[in-house]
Amino acid sequence: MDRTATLFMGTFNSEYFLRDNTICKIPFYNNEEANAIISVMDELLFVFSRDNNDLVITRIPMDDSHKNYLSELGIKFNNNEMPVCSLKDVNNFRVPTQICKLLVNSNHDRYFQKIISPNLNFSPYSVVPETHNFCDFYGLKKSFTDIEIVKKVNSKLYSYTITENLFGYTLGSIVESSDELRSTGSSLLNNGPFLLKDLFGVSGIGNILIESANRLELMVRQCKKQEKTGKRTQFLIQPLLKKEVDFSCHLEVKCNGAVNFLSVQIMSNKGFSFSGIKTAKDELIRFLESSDYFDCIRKIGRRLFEDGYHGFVCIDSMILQDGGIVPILEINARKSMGLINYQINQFFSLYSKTVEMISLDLRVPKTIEFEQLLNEMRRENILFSNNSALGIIPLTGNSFHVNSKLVDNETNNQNHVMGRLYLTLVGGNDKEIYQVYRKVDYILNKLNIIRFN
Amino acid sequence: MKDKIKNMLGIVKEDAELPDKISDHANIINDVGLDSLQLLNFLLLVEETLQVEINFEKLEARYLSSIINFCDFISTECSTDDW
Repeated sequence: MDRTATLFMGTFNSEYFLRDNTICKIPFYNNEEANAIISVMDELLFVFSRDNNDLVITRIPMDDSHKNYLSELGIKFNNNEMPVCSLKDVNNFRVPTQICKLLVNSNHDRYFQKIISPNLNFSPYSVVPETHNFCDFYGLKKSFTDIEIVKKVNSKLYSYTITENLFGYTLGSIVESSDELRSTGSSLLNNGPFLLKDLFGVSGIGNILIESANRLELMVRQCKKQEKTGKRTQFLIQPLLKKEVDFSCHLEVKCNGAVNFLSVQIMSNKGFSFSGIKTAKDELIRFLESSDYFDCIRKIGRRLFEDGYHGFVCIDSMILQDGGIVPILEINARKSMGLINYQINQFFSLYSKTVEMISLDLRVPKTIEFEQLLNEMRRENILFSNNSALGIIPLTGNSFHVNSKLVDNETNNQNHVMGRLYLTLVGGNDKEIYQVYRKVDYILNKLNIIRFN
Repeated sequence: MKDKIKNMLGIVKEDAELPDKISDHANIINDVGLDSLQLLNFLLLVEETLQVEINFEKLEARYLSSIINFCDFISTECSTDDW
């Protein structure tokens, strides 16, 4: 049966646009270089493409050397040749902006009108406030959930509430004022550290570990300051759990209410930030099957549908050191890094390979472009090809050098800029994956690239 | 204050040798390599240790471009009123 050609596109910091700005924030440093990297992570969406009829629109066109390499692997897709916005408009990278909004206001809207056919099936990474306007502008069919429902089900308040409704217990508390944060937090501290979570926080931003009364008082003070400006406090606070394994379950809630399980992915986190992911092995799946984990997940999927949501879902879960399972830490009603890794696994299942996706935070000499890195990998015989037993597949190129390109447009005397690489490591087993990992380090060192994680 | 700042960076990075390895001109993000969460932990530790209130709205990249600039930021832009 012919499959409808699909448009893949997205904004990776979608929670930023879902969050209610009248609620107090956990303080954060607005890192413009990190924002620029997130803005170009949309290139990861090529993994969902099936063939040359599919279109992946990225904020700036993917690097030609990267696209050519992926094509050599047999990964086919179309990518825009014009940028959605110019690198000269640095704020479109350094300040969080929805790609849907940029496309409606793009200087190249005629070009995009030409390549975005109304006949395309549209599959966004996530639904954000401007997604509906974008579809109206380009005449695309809106076959996704209403934004107000998306906001509701992505909030940690929803995860908290349905845990109580479906399973009869709660994990932590919702605090609704700075005074309540102080009193509830003090009680929790008697039993150990706890996490203070923004209702739309994501890994690395919007969560803070409270280990002392002093630290709690600092956060109370931050809230009081914001309350004075008219904001209201609403946070989830949860005792710090004794974690054995962090994992996520990926499913799709169909328009007819069917819940399709796709995959279980194990996360490697550095602190509370994402650093790597791999598909769960059979042993873990059997353990989850022997508990009632998948029944819990099915109930959550059904509840999401009853509450009006359909689409992809990532449910973060945890196995505790005592063997207990926490089925819902949070619900991300969107595509996710785990789903991206699942797609890559689907591709490599043909080759019976073990794969692991990692992200590396880097300081990159601003003279080095992605193509040089790719060539170095090829020279060192570690770039994966269809004939390789093991190797590296770079999943992103623009995230490596976007900050170099942005500072090219400015007077700036810094020699290194922030870069990030998402890589798939391929091998026959875990030992080979480790060999590939060591080789990545070797190449980064050779190019004078500093790795932080 | 510079030495105290370096010690706090060492605590956040869990690297006891870090304070001796970084110069007064080290960039707190680029050279020390703090990610978003480590940076927040560092800033909260600075508030606790130095008993100041950091103005997060005013914290720009230039203030993190060296230990010296960060100390200037603490001295000029951060309040001690609430302590």
